Amino acid sequence: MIDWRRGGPTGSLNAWVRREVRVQLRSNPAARAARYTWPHRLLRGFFSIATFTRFVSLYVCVCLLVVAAEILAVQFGEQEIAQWLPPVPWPMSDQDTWLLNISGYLIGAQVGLLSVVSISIALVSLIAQRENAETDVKVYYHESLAFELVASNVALLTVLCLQLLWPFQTVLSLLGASATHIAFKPFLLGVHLVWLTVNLLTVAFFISTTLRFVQDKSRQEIRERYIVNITHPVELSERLRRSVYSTSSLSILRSAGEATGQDDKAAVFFGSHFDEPQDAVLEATFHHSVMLHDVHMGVVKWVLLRWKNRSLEKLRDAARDEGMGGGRRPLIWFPIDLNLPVQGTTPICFQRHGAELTRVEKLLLRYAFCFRRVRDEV
Amino acid sequence: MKSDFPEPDDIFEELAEKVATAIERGKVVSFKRSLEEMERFHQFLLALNSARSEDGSQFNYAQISGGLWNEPHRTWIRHYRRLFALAADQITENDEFISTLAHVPHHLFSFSRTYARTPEITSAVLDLGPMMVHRLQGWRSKRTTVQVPLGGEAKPKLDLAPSEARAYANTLPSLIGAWEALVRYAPLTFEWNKLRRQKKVPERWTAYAESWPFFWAHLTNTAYCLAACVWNEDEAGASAYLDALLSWRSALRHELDAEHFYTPYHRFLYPTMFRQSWDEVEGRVAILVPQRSVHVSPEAVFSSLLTSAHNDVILLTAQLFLFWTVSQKQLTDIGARVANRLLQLRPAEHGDEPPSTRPLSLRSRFLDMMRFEVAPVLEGETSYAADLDHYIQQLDNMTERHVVPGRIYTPSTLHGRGGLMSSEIAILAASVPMTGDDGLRAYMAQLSANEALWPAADDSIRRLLNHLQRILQSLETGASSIGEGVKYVLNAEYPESLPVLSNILKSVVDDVEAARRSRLRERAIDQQKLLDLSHLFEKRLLEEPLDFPFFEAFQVVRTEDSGGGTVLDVPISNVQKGQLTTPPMDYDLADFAPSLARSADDILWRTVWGNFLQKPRQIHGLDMTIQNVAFWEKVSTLIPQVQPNSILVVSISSEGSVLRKSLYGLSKVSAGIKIESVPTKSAKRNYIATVNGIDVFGASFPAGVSWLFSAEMLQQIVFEKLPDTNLYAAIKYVPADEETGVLRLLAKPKLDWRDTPIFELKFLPSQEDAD
Repeated sequence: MIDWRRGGPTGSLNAWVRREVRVQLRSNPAARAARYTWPHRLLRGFFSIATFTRFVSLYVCVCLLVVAAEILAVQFGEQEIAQWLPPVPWPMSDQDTWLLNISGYLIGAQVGLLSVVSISIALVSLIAQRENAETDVKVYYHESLAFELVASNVALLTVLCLQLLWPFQTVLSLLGASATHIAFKPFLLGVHLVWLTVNLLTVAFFISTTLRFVQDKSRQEIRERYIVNITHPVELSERLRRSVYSTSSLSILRSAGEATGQDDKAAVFFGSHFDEPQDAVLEATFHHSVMLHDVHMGVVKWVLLRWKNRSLEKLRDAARDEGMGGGRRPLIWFPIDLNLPVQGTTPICFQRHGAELTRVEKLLLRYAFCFRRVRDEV
Repeated sequence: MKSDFPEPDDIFEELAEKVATAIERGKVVSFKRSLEEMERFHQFLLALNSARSEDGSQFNYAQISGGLWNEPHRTWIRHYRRLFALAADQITENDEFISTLAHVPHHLFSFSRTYARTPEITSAVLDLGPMMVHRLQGWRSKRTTVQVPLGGEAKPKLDLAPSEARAYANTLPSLIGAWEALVRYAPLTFEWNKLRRQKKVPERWTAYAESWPFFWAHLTNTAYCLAACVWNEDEAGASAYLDALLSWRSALRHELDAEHFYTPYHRFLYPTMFRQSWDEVEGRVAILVPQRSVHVSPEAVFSSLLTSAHNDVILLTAQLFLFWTVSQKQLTDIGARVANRLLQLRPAEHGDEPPSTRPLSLRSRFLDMMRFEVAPVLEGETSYAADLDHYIQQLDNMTERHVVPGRIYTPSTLHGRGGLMSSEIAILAASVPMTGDDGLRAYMAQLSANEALWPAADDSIRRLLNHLQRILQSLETGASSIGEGVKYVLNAEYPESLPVLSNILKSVVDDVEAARRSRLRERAIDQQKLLDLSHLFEKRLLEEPLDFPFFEAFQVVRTEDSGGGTVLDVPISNVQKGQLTTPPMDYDLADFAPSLARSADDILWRTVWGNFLQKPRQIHGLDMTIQNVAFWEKVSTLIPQVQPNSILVVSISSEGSVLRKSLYGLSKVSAGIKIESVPTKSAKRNYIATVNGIDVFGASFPAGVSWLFSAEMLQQIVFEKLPDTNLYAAIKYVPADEETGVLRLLAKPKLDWRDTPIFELKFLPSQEDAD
């Protein structure tokens, strides 16, 4: 007996599964022991930016914000604003030289980091290839944040090189809109420094993971951590979703007090195909490829229980007519499978015997089956 | 790249690949390290999927396949298959690989990490044993040759080359040792010592019950390994696993035998008791254990159940092997030879020495076999007998011919113990003494006299009698396979045994049946059962809407007054008394009570129709057919007199057929006649069509006769209380003899009719009627 209230007010299948997986991960000792720590999660949060393009794009956004701030400052009284800010501890005339020197050091450091990371990745890949350990290498790449770190390093290096010329500030200066009393460039330099520090910390984390990866016991731990945090929640959710969807056939017509198993008077099936009549009770037309994404089981249950009660009344009448009535068991089934793309006019519900569904019930059922567009693979 | 995350299966496969590479390269140290890594990963996955359900029971998410072909935990186990095959290939060079792999199940159970050991997970892990044996047999099959001595007759002797045979024989003990270690260390795995010290009796029983799937899977898999060796005609393997099976129980002797208890009825204890609470088990044991016996502990019952299960598996395995030989499924007689040793409990290491123990008597053999038939059936149709059927099905499945996957085929193998009857009879016949019956008849008479001893009371006795009747039928038909089976079991001809066995069994059946009949005669009818049936009958008549042909809108009422009603008394003869006793002493007829209730409609309808037929009718002769417009015009002139809701009833076979043909456009209709089928009326019984607004129904009338009357003529049915009861409808049982009787369905209805006429119209049958 599945308590669909755990899937929210409408008994969402996905919400129900999410909750189950969350509870399982919280209560399972093996999962608890292998969860990422909070600093680790923060680090992964930052590196969820993941790609070179995104890193650079994000930096460009920050840069544009700084440029916008400079323009606004010039427009609305730079001198007044400068009075509110702490004085710059170096002469403004030497600022560009200072910046150039520091940027040079940063580029040097960044190039050093990048070469360490690149060589490590190359070495591990080579060793792993020799040992036929493709999946282990993939786990290593993921757990050491290798791709993200390389992307971040390359992005920062690109940014540092470009910012040797300060392109945005140069354009501002040419337009005569650059600030003379407030130092905006050092702010960006600060951003570079913070970014470099994060990269440095991550390289430390990367090297530590790399060294641990070559030890058997630590490699097992890394593998377990990867499974608990990355694949297991997704994989378990997917299995549970499919299983619960199909096994709902057994329990959805039963109330809490009734025994388990299929209802012996009326039957419902999800994701099953029978000898289907020509006309579907409910169908929908999709112009693009879609996939059944979620089912609001609470709503489906409400509709089906109403239908069952009406059907059983009808069945009683029919039983009297025929003396037996065993062959007219009301049956309703939903042939749609989870995760199977459909397109065009698609039957959602078929029915054999039993009472007819009302318009409102059909409307609710249509609402309960949520589809999501998927990419055409043709 | 981001979406290309490896799944646990990918990682598992790669770990297995590392182990496989080490085996192929012959690197023992690397192999052991890689295998340990793989085992730990396997355990981690099982632990990660472990959970507790809301009722506190263990559960493992790895059992959820989620629509995939295999459950994840089964997929993980399958990775070992390839390793066993590779290690088997290395037996002659280095047997350490296969010996180490043989410990995998033990490692999976005994590493420090704990996980939910559900019966399914346990069974899957223990399936590694048979999996290894199949790979070994695969290796052996590739290397066996047909050896024909020079100048000798051709004979189907399959054998390994001497060096390989020696290597194989040297490896077997370590494999068996690893397999037996699972049971030997089970007390540690299940923490029995801690259990005994710290837990109360009911909790101890629950803990033993939870460990039962492990022992059952191990026991049946040991027998499966033996069967795999026998089927592949592997003498060395069969000897090794025969010893393992025979000595299976001895591994736990030091743990459990201190708590022994004696009962002459130990065969009536079944593993289905593990699904019961300790209180229920104690209650059952108290019936079976003589009063003078000491206090019975959970350990003692557990020990007794293990011993019984062990004996059952040995006996059934022997029956199956005998069946294989007798039905000529194998080239050699290895099956019969191993069966013989199993029946004599003689390990292979004793060679051809005579058995140390005395052969079992006919009585013991009979009781051992009877035990399967009388096992109780629990809710959901689960029973120990069904488990044994499944066990036999699994074992015999290895003899199935090659089939194309996905194709529908009829299995040629056994579905259960039913197919082993000839072996069963042969074993019984081989135990028949030269004189007497080993006290079987007297013992059975004593048993049958006490119904409470039997696991499912009279139901058990009925099943046993049925089974014995089938055995007697088989003995009468005299299948040659039985005689041949006896020869194999005894290693000698014993043709006299079959008629003697038949006579003994006949007398047993007579005695048991006589005791049962005597009990049936003494047992009174359960009045509560009759009352329940009466209430069901009454409810159907008075509370649920009655559906009669032709008549509608009548009321069903009950009255306290009496007089006016006629007692309706319908007998149902030849009802078995056993149906109405508690506990029931006859087979539960499916739907007995509901079908009785359903017949209420028909019974009452016959009364109503009989009463209606006695009413006067006004006859009108018409010189026309039903297809003439004039007929319907005449009918319409009579309709105002038969209001409300007038209907016309015609012959269903002649006029009914004519009207239906007209309705479906298969015959012409005269102008002025409009035939239609009204959807709202089509559900009514016997409705044919509506002609010119008149509803026409069919009945078994002669052609050319119809009745016109009001469908609401029957106004109400008044039920009066039956004399001397408080019921409006009742069922009574009147004994016809001591075992059968008559059920009388009683009611006292009074029919109120409206005072409207009934017209009987006689007309000419139409030409089409003659056709």
